Amino acid sequence: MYIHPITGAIREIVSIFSEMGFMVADGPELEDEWHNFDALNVPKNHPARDMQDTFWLPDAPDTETGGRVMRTHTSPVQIRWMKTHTAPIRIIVPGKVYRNEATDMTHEAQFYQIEGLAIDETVSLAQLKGTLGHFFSKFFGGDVEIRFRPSYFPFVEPGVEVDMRISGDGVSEKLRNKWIEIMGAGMVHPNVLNGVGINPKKYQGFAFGVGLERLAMLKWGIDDVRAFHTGDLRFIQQFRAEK
Amino acid sequence: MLVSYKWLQDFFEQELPSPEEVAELLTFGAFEIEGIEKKNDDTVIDVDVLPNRASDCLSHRGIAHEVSVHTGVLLADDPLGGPIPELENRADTLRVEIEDNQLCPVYAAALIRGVKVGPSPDWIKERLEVLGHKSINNVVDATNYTLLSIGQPTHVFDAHKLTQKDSSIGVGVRFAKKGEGITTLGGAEYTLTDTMSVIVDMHSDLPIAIAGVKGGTTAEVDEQTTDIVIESAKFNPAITRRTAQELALRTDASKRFENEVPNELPFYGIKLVVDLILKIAGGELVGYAGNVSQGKRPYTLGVSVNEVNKTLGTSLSDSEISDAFDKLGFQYERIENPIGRILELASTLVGKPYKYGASVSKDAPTCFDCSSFISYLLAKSGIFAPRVSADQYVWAQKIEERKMHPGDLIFSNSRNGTIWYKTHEFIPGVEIKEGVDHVGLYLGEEKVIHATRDPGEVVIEKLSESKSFKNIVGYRRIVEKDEERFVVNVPFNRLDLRKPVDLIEEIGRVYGYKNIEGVPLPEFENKEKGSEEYEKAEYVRSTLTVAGYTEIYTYSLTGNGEVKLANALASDKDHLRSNLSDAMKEKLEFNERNVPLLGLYKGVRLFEIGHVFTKKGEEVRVCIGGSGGGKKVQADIGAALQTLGVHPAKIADEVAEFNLSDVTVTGERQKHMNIKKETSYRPISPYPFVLRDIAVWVPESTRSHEIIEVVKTHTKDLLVRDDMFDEYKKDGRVSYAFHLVFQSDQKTLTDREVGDVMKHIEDDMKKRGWEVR
Repeated sequence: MYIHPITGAIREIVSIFSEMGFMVADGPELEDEWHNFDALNVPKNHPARDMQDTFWLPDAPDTETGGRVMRTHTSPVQIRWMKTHTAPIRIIVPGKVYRNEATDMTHEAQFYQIEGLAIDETVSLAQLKGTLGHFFSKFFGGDVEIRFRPSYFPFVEPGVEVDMRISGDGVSEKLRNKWIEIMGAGMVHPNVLNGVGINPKKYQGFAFGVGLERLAMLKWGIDDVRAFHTGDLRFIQQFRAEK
Repeated sequence: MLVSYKWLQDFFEQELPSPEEVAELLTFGAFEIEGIEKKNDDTVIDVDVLPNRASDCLSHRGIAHEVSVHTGVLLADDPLGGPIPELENRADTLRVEIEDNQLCPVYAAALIRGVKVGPSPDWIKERLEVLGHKSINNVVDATNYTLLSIGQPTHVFDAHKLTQKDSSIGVGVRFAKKGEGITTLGGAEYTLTDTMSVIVDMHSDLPIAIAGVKGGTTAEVDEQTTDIVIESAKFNPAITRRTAQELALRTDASKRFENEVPNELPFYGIKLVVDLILKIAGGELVGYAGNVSQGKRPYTLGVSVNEVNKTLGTSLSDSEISDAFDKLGFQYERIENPIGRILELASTLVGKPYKYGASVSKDAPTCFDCSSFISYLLAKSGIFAPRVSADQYVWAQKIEERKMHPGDLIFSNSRNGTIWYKTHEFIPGVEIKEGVDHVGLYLGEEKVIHATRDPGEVVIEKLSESKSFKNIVGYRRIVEKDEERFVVNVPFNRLDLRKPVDLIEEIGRVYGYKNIEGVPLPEFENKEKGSEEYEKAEYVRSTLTVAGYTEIYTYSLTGNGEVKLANALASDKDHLRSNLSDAMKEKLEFNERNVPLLGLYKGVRLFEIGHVFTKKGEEVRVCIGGSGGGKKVQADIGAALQTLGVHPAKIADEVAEFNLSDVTVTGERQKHMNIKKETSYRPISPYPFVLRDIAVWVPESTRSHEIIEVVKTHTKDLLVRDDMFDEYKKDGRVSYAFHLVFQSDQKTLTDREVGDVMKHIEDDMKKRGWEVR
């Protein structure tokens, strides 16, 4: 019995986060511009909306929701969840996303992302750091240090780039004691909360998004991101199920 | 952006830390560093300036300022340190005409006569060249120097090449005409569209530059040039970006304009470049034209210690926050009791005229409407409040009338004019049944201060006598606790600082993210229900995995389907898949070729769960497929469908596809299995495998693994798989048969190589008295 590493990674991550009270949420891969960009505080003329970055459908834009796009991140699911639920919120969102870019060993036009969102009255940047540290040490094994560097994503403020460093005997040579740039994260921008009807004066939260294949590649030493979507059993059979 | 370390040093009196240390400080305090390179006697640092910091950091001054923030060493020489330069001496011989302020909100120009175009002094050449810019001549170099120094693009035209009329020359900014052509510096020709904008020679209306992107040859500066017109402007970011993109002409200038240049920067820019040209190319400044700089009230933002700590999860003291603001060079005021300040300020504004729709940023404190009055008062005390009364009504905290203090807000419905029944920008769409259109500030003792249409100014009235407050709908408190606030005057070039949380980020990165201790989220019982779709998919996965199927993931972008993309990577990826079966069949066939490598001699069994896109919409499907004998496959799939509660009519050939929603979860849930610990991936060999079978009679006491051990002593790394396919006992002997699969990850194995290995194995077995069949 074999477990596809995308499934294996999602399963482990979901299990780690469900212990912390996160629920799985999902949404469509074919999104509208409003959910994918506007509601996430992405300015109208932001380069991410360009044809060279995003797959668009040819239909004329809707006056309310804009054009239709293949979602470029799992973040529109945050919006869908927040619009239909009240705070406090803790969700984890695995799903396929699309980018209009040429493929090579580390880039794919479609890949999986996993997104986390926690909203409450006192959710803080320090809690983001603690949560990610816990997650990585469970997922990779070993002791994990987390460090933040300033970054910018329109839907979070402050926005940070997250690096991790794992130490411990069980950790593979490739990973051990090295700082690895792993994901983007931050505190949910008050504009995002405001737009979905969550009072930004009362509530705050953190969000993060990470490339799933990248996590799997680091965990199991996979060298080519394209291997995940080939349906090639020579690849998948290397991932045996734990009985 | 490439940054010269020596140039950075010039902004300071004190010696900077080493280039590596500067890079480290920037990495953790501001921006990623793409590289550090020694060049001549300088070091060039490649700084990846974040898009929201383009307005202040795409320049040496900007990076030097960041270095100052993180070292605590103040800039000794700050070109943006002084007030906005006033361009006083106007040139009546130079005119500027802007078709549309949206195109070009700021345009400052200068006329210099009598320059001597020639080589630049060495210190300029050095600076440009170390950063990869070719030195052209002193005048052009001065513009490039200004851009790299403070981030303001400037451009120089030869004044004699502009058309003279009534003893004046002029430049204009207008939309290009469709099909209008221009030859840019360097000789490339471009055809423009009517969404692009150009700089024109005013009297001939001919284009002399693509606005914000690149200059043209018509008014190019050359060695004979003596009189020059210098441009320092702000062009529309969106138009510049689109133009540069459509023409595939991204320049240093367009990069700055598309990220928005601060309104004030062009004035610093023109002053800097004019002074520099006069210094290195001589000449005499005739005067300036175009916009006049206007000192604007700075944007203010405020935070309290509590707000900072609540977001960052820290326990910073007020002195740590003021330390961060000092390092950032912010001007700020600490207001101990903001509500008191609001009350004080309010009464100084009595008599200011009323103007409906007055803007807080532009009109205050000259005139107000009721809510801009409140919004302004709060902003001055560092409280970020919504702009309109309905939003303020929902934003502020509800209180009872009897608990009213001075500094609370009173809202009314005047039943006259536009009444708001819904919030506008603060949590848009919240219903306000009672309707709101007016707000005032309570002063205590039955008195209210408000900006009102009647009598048309800011007045203090007795509540009971005020016409505006005859129909009070509610009372609100501005802040729960009147605590000290830091009120910051945002520097003009920090266009990214527009919300209190932006200030908190500044404090966070200056304090140092490394100093923020990670803490766990508090325990939380989630009362919501998670995704049913995910649960169901997991059920299907576990059920099918136990039944011997292996999950695959395939591409959603395919060559055919019912939904087409507007932009595609390639013609075989220009549609969204409308089913999973096509890919399934392809993958069955593909894997069938590798059966010996996979050991799947009884047939391949696969499944996929994924989204498909049809004319009807998006659906989540499950697809099951098998190969290696039609009847057996159909029976297996039929059994799998039954377990999942799906109707067997879904089977077509050796593949079944159905909606995930068709699945019925029954019985015990399977425990979801994980991938084995210590799994480590080995790349797939690109070379073909070779299959050989071997069957051998051995004594009954010999175990099958002993056979393989003998085999392995001869195969080195080439044996990648062995599968026993037969075991047969007779007369005290046992016959074992194996499939042996050979493959190298270095080369294609020849028949002969494998034949030799097989011969060694057989010889060895014979020596042991085994009988190879």
